[in-house]
Amino acid sequence: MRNPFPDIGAVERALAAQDYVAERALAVSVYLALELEQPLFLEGEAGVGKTEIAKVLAAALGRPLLRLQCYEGLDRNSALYEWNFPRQMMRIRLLEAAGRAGEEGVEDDLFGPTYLIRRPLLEAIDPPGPAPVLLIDEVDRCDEEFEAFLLELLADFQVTIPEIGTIRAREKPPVVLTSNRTREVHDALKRRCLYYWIDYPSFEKEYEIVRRKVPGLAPALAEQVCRFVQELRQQPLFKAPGVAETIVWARALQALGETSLRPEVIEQTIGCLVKYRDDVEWMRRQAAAGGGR
Amino acid sequence: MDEGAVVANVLAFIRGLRHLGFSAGPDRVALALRALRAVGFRGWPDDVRDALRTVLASTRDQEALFDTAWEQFALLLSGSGSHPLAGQTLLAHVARLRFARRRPPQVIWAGAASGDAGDGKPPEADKQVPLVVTGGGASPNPALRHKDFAALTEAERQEMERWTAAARWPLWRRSRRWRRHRAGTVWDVPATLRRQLASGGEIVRLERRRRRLALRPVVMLCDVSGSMEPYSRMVLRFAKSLIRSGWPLDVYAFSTSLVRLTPALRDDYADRALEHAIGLIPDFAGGTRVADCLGTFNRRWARIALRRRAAAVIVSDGLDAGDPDAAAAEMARLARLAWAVVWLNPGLGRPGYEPTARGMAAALPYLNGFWPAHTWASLEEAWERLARIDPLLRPYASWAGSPTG
Repeated sequence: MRNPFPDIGAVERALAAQDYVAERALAVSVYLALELEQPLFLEGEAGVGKTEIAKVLAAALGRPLLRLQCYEGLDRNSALYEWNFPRQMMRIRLLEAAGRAGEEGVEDDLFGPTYLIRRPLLEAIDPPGPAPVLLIDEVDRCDEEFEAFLLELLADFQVTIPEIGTIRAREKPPVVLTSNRTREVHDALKRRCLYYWIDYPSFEKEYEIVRRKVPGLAPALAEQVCRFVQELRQQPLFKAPGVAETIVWARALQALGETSLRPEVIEQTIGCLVKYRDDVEWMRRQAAAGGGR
Repeated sequence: MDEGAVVANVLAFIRGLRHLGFSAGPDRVALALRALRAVGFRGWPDDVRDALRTVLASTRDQEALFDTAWEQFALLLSGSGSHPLAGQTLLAHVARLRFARRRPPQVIWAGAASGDAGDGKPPEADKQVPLVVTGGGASPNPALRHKDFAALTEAERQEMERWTAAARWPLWRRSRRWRRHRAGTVWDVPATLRRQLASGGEIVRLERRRRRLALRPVVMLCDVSGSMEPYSRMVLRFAKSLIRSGWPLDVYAFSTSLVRLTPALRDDYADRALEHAIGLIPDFAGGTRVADCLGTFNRRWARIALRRRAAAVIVSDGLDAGDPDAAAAEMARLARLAWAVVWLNPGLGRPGYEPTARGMAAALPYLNGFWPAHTWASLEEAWERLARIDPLLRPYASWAGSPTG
């Protein structure tokens, strides 16, 4: 795909237009991913906006987004393509009943596009319209076998279906891979990608994000929210809240019509921020001790 | 700007990065130069750095290392002086920074002299050192296999350090992947239909499939505090031999703090691996803080280490100075995350032992197994029992804290 952005600034503006507040370095990575036609590998804690970048990029490019959610046991059949066996079977039976099973071209028809179930990866290589943005989400969840297959696919964007032939991508789709780092993804895969670690945003960035995503929230409250979350990330929690949690919390506070952070309100809405019972307990103890605000 | 000079500088920089462990092959270098051209020099000054970094780094640590190297490089370029010499200085400096990041904490030996194995000199106290003939090197002496680690003489210990545990019992778990199998319980429709094509359209046999088997990962948390001194070394030795025979074992040591030993233990040379691993432990043979260490493990490592239904094995005597309630809370959390939790206690090898230590009693309700670990044979047996354990069964769940035996 040709890179529609003339420079890094244009990428930044396009992301901002979709309400995605990005560090300049991330814009550099995105720009290069498009310019050099390389997949972009994003790592970071849960809820820092890794998946979001693919969505925003698709919107900014005006292209559809194809998402492949990885899980253990994901294989070619559910990622690339599969023959629709039941339907083929039915077709054979119908042809037999009509006495036409032996006719010319029946197999060609049976192993033609009608009976091919196109999964996200094939769809990305051979789309009906312009190349989509391909999001391969949570690569760390798939197993090594599938990783090796991805490696092959990302190298040359072509697949061979024995019954049909080789399908090559007319234009390379932009690819975004994300990982929560529940395990280390193999080096070989990473080396074929541009790498970027998305960190938790600084206070200023987070404030800007909250202001954009929850425009109705009072600026003073937005600031309190961000300070609280920033502080919380420094604590020994099992799972620190991500930006996604901050936004949900801000929305919750707005929905409740709050104008400032009161301890009771924090207590009532804490489920938006921390999701482990132990963490909630920990915060209660801190609150009782008067330490954690 | 003189493009040739820029390219030369970037190439020199990449050569430097290779010394820091970056695997920048020719393809990456070419890509880096293309990235440089794409970004140009008109944008922000940091864009060039960010562009090169996104191409050349492939982990978060490498990102940090890259930034440090880049700063040094910029300093170097802005200064004047003999370039080759300065280049060496740059590399030396960055390498030193890297070394400082990687350097293991200092070892503080607080234990008995017997811990210092490997120099081949038995302590004077052992006058009656038996002469041990070690022929093939790795044929476990049956008598030694059943001898309590604490009662081992130095020579026996040395002989055992050469053993490689042949843990024969694989720990299987069902993978999420399928394979065709005659006795599978699920009808494999695609395979059946493919076979049907071969037999001219007739279904001769229903193909079945079942879940493939994969090795179950095991996480071992080994207590290396002073009270465990005679045992922890042999347990690590045992762990090393398991890793060597290919089991997915992840090893951590804890006493007052928790250290991950797996990377060190992957070294092919068992002795060096063990020495390296023990060197990583900041306070080998010090005190114990079970709750703190389990807490660290739960927060920092558990989500990574305990994926794919891993089993957790704790090797400790349960002598803990900390708060038993905190230990119980961390055990509860660990038990929720792991497929099964097993505690190996060398004390169980002694007749009449009761798990009355407060830390031990607090942990009991969450255990799926509570077995001895005082001899080589008991470690092997524990490993085999682990393969047959029922994760739903907690034999001490109703343990009320009173020793009943």
